[in-house]
Amino acid sequence: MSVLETRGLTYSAEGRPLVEDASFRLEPGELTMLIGPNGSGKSTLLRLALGLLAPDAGEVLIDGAGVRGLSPMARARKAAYLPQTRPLAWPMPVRDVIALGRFAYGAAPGQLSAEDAAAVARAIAACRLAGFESRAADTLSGGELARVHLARALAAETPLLVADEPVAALDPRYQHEVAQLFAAAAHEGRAVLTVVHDLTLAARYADRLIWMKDGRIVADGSVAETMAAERLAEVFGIDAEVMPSGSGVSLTVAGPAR
Amino acid sequence: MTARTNALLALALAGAILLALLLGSVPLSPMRVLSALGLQGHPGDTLVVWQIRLPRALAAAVVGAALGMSGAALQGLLRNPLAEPGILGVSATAALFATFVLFFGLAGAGPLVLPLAAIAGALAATLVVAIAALRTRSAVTLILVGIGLSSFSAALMALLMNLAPNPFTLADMINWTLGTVANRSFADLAYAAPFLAIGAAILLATRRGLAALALGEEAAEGVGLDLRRQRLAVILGAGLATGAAVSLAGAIGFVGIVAPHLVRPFVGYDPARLLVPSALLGGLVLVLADIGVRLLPTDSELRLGVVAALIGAPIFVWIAARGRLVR
Repeated sequence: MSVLETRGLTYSAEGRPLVEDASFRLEPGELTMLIGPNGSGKSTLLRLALGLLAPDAGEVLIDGAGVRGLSPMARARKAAYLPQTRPLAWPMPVRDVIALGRFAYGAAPGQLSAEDAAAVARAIAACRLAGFESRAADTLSGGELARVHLARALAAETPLLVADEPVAALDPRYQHEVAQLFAAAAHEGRAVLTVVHDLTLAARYADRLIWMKDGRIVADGSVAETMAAERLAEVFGIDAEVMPSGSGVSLTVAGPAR
Repeated sequence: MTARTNALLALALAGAILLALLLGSVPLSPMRVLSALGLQGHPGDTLVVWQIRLPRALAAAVVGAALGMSGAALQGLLRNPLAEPGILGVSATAALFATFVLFFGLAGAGPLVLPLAAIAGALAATLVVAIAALRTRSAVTLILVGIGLSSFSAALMALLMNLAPNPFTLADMINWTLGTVANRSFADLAYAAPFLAIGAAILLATRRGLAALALGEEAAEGVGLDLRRQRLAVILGAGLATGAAVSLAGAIGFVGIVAPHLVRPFVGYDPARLLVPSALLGGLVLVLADIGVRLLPTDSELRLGVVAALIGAPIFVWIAARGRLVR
């Protein structure tokens, strides 16, 4: 059974269709990256897939259960969500921010069961945040904060992890670090779905790409199957060269398509 | 650390209430106060302690606690350290509704009319502010809506004062605007207490969600928070508690901003664990301020709300000027 299955998701706001007839499945152990130009409906699709938005048509199954029928707590125990990172409201210590990932299990900062504390410790180790536990969140660099948010999501230990542009505004080293953490999270057996803007990053780390344009899914498959010069021109409007290299492809962007 | 903070604050609050019993215009020795408390002393002493000093001190403690907790909860919900019943116009609107009832002589209809009117005002104002906050998501807009609400309530209050039929009504209204706990009785306390207790219970029961909101509303939903229920709970809880506080003491501002601000570092900036110490510190601040009001040798007694604003407004300016207002 797929971890996540969407069937014909359609959603429009103020008369403008944002997502049309989007169907896909996510399998455990796979890092799926959702790519597409600005305004193509990626963030909306994520929110629909998580049941945070009610679709106009279509349905979403997480572990075979309709997502809109789940309580917020039950849903959060199946799917962890990292929205586009916004500053924390309060400069809480890193340990407490990560502990909030256990919210759906009844935990809160300062009151963790043994099981919650163990999950938090595993997330801290996975994101290499040992030594940061007592640091106030507002003293961290962008890359460190991105790892804290990821650790918060991992601490929920859900079969599904969904993230919206987790590497935006990070320098290249941090981008690769965070992308590797996502890949590791997937290869531990989760299904991971993340929006990424950096195509070289997508080509390097994704097990599978879902391409979106104007609210529709226009391609869905492995990097080798779907990454082609014609598709990059059609979806992103860029002139790019795609060359097979090693087990994957290498990408050279020349500029906007003429 | 939180438990120790709470214990220390609770101890300090108890000490302040005891101090309030010891001090006053009639000099009473600690022994006489203690025996009066145990109903063993001179009937005159017992009257002073049980009818005047204790209800007044308890009213100050309860009002401060309600405002401190409401401020902490509103700040957690709106993710803004400047949110507070006074700043957001909640206290002023509650005071206006209460004055309205007094003005038209409706308060005679029953002892619950006044608290209910104040609570209705507080709930209406909290709802307006929350809707504005959720529509715009801008802290500046939120504060401006609060200022507008306060100004409008003040204007209507001024109108009622303008039309006041006699100086006694006018004096009553001034008391509501300025805020005081002078001459409160156990009966007054008893009528406000149930609403206050329900409000505080709602806030405490749902406080865990405030911690989740530190992540932002979208991520809070992601970790399993029922956002609509959380908003409703805080609006209802803060409205009930603030309304009950206003029905007891009139509009007293700034307690709800100062108390959470001071204790926040001691609870690791956790908006959930902030509620109890904010309530305790809010109570402590008002009991101490009320002792000051009683001891200051002024011709006419200073109003508690005036003193609270004199201390609180500069702190508000300080917090606002340190930035982090716009997010």
